[in-house]
Amino acid sequence: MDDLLPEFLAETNESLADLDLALVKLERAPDDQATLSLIFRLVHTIKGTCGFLGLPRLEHVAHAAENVLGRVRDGELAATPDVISLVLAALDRIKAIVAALGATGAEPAGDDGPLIAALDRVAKGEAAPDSEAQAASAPVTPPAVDQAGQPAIEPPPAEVAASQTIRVTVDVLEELMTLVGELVLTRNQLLQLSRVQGNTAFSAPLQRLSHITSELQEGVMKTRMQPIGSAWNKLPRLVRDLAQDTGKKIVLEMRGQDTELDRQVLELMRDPLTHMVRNSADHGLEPPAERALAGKPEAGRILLNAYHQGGHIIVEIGDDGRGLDVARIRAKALSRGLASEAELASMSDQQVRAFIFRAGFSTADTVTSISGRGVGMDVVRSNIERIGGTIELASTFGQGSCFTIKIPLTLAIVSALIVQVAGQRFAIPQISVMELVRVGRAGAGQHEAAGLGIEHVGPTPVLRLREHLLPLVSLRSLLRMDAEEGGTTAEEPTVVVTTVGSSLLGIVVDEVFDTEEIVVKPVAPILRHITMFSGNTILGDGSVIMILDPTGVARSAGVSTRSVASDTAADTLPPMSEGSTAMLLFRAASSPSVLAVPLNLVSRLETIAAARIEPAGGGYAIQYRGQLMPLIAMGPEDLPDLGARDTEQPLLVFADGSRSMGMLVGSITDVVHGRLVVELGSARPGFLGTAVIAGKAADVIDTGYWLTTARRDWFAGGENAVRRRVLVVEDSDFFRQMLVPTLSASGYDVVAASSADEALQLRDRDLEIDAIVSDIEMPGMDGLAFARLVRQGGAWSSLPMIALTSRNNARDAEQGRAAGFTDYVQKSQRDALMNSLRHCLAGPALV
Amino acid sequence: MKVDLPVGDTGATIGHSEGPARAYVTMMLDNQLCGVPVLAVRDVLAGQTIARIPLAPPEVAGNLNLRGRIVTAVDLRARLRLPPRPGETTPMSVVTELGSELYALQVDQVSEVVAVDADSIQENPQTLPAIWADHSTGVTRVGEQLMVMLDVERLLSLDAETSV
Amino acid sequence: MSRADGAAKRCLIVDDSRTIRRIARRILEVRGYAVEEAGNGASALQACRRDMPDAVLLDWNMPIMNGIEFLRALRAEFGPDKPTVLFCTTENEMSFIEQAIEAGAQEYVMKPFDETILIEKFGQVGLA
Repeated sequence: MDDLLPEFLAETNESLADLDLALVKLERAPDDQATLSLIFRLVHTIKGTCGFLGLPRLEHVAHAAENVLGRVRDGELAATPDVISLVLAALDRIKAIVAALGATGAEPAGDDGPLIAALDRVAKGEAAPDSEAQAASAPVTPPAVDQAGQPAIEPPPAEVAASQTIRVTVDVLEELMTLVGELVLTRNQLLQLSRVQGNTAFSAPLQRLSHITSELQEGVMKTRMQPIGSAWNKLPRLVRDLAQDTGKKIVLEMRGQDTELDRQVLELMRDPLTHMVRNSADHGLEPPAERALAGKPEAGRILLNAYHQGGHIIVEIGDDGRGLDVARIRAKALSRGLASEAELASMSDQQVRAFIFRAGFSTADTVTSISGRGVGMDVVRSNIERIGGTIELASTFGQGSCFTIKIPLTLAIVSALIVQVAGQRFAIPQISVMELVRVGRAGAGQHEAAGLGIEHVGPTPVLRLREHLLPLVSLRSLLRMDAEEGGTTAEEPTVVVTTVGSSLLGIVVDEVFDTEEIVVKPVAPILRHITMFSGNTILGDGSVIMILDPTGVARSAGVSTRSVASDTAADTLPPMSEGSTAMLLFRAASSPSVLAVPLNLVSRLETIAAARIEPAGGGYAIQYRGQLMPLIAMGPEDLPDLGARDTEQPLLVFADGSRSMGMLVGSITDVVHGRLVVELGSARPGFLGTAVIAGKAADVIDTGYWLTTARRDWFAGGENAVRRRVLVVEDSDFFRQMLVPTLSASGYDVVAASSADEALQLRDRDLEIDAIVSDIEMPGMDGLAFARLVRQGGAWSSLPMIALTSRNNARDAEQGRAAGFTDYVQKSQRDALMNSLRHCLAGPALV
Repeated sequence: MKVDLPVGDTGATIGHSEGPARAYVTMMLDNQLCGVPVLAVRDVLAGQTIARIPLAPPEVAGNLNLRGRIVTAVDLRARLRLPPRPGETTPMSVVTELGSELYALQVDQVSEVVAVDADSIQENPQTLPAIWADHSTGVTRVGEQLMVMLDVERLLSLDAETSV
Repeated sequence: MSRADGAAKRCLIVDDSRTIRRIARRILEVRGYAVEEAGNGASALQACRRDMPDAVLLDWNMPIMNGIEFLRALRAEFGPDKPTVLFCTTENEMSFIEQAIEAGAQEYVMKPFDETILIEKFGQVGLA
């Protein structure tokens, strides 16, 4: 009956995977009869089958476990964590035996006596399982296979419906994939030839061949895709055991389990992910007492999140634990001789944190049985880099850590735009290309009446594209191809407008060709440090070209990639860095210091003739695009000599829907990229405070203040005298700072609260408001709970409430409405928020 | 263009080598004779179109297409900090595989395949310049010349050396 | 040994373990039975409605619909005699034998069974 063994192994491995999940579930809900029956049945089946195959060790262990489960099922024994631990110990033994069976074809030698005795005692109700769990799991002789290494049998995917699926070895799929890749390349070559030949008798069948090839390719790709959740299956059990062993309380939250990725990539990600979750549980999260002292909920959180972004898969592993202790890392780096004192002194905290990725560095002072298995973050990093991925770390001491893994879709076939710079071609994944804009070259600072031109703000090139100033990067200079043959920059370069995260970036190239289907091949390891390339490929004509990674390009150019809503754990876990922001620096006669404003608040830069400025409505205005646009002067000094005919006056134009306002400034000096950390506390109205931007102090203006001033002047006594007051509840400083001026600029009085609790305190202090705009994901009380509380009663119970979220899906929106929100708007969509507010406040419910 | 190499008659017959004899592909680099085990060599190429890679380290000459596979070309002169190849000569490439990646090692000239008796391989002599010694597993005599046995793995570990 | 010659008896093996189904199938096929399989009571009932077998080898602990439930439904729908049901059980579950006989099983067989035991049991119910 030897050939029955593979069948048995496959079946049993499926059952064991199900059992792990079911037992963890049972522990949380010990009365769940359905789960209990499932567990009992699976163990029973394993036992029953062993008898046929002559596998006495397995049979006896399974039998003893079944006895315990039977008692639990009959309600004679409670499913306490200790009982579950004992059953899990039995399952582990079964797994080890099954693994050895797979490797050698025979049950390994071993003594299950103590384990079976412990199970029997518990089943008979003789012993408190408490000590038994220990007794049973401690002196276990590790089964032979644990030393031998990996079990030979890979657990097959769960849920195999007998008639609907067949098993195909991975080798076959790999081979198919390679062949399809080659087929695509050959097809491309044929298409290229056919274009040269013009219309021939081959054209029509070739088109058909091309079409079939595409479909075949898609089909084969699909066979390789697996949801990332299949690599996460074992984590609930792992975390449960760790919590048990360390006496911690841990909540594991998994999002985006359905995100599909290439199975090869998935396999390679499995171990690093497991290791990182283990790390979070063991080192990251504090024991309940320590958490309580720090004012955190007793249960620590580990969040796994996976999603697609611009042709990559992002996986985040975050925890709300103690975060990395930079001081300790510094000390350790020093003691390990990884860096000198002087070197360390010059390093930023972020650089110091990166030491955890260095070989031989382990932050835990003692090697614990949990994480101390000789695998460090250095191994994790090299595993990820081997598949062309990157790993980043954000951590705030005391608040938690978050690792962000970005894996390219290697081996994938994508549609790409082929561009050329300095005579060399590159591919840009089509998925991140928004549009192409052909531009003329305008002189720096020169105003173009019509058409689009590249302008310079300080040294930074920008493109005015509709209502936005788009930061530009020259691919030529970024790739240091200035000195290349391939001549001078094209007369009419093209801007490839790309999405990077949630912001836009213009990449300036000399020429744009067709889009082409390309097979993404990972770059050689010796080139992986060049983050601007996500891979390379062979084109239809046989030439090898590099594939640009827009995110890498943005990062090299120092452009913010995380400026607006990012659909990431960043919104839910506190320690995220806010990313950098593009800031426009300018001077004004009324201010001795350099002034700054976030570039994305500015819609246009204009230069007007001072003579066009006219007094209007108590202030000043100009005719602008067929309308009278109010002008703001921060001080009387900022008003130009209106009589002087040939004075050029620079303006910052802020737009809100169809209305615009211009701010009179002295000169625009630069656009810089950096983190905006405003040291709040400026006493001067109109200024948020001072920030160090690109090494220099600059006063950040409060656009909201200036715009409302202008509007008030403008509409003084007008119909808009009643100002609505909006409460903004948002935990992120960054978003608060963005929202408040935006709303102020639109004529609302804005009150901000950084948490739901703070907002509720305002209610209890009888703050009168007209509407609430609230974030959904917040630490502590989240937006949904907040909405429910508001709706329960009190002065605010019937106010319009608008939910802000970084995610956009129908189910979330429904949840939001169920909790009491009037509307649901994505964070990044400023216009949607404005429309929603206008709509809500126009309703009859309000004064 | 694919190149077929002559087999030298300096030692045992290739293919039926008994005992410790090993076959090496010999090549010239700045007038130094070097060798790479024949088993490590997938192809020998000449006259390939090489696509340059912006921002790549100077040792990386570019990418080339070898029957649908992308091969990274590494200029061994640059790698070993030897003077640049004279303008009029075109390099030849020895294609080797490391960790499932293909690399084309660019040299001045690929000569022949020779069999080397394992016993005749000696440790690097003290007099061998450091740049050679650092990337060599030993030396042996081939005819009148000293042949440096190149350590392919070390040659291709650009990462480790540039980043530390 | 096709149905047409009237000689082949048909047996439906109902068990949630693929391995056990395969073991039983071999034993029975060697003895000339035409074998069908079902992984739980519900699909077994469907199989019976489609094409009634002569015998059912029935496990009790299965997902969706267990052996006892199947047996009750089967007898309710098709009467007490046909098909002949052999109920499988293990030493842990002697109490089920009683339930099974009450529900209309003709015979029981203890797991693990081997060829001799199974064929002997089939003989006892006149199916050999």
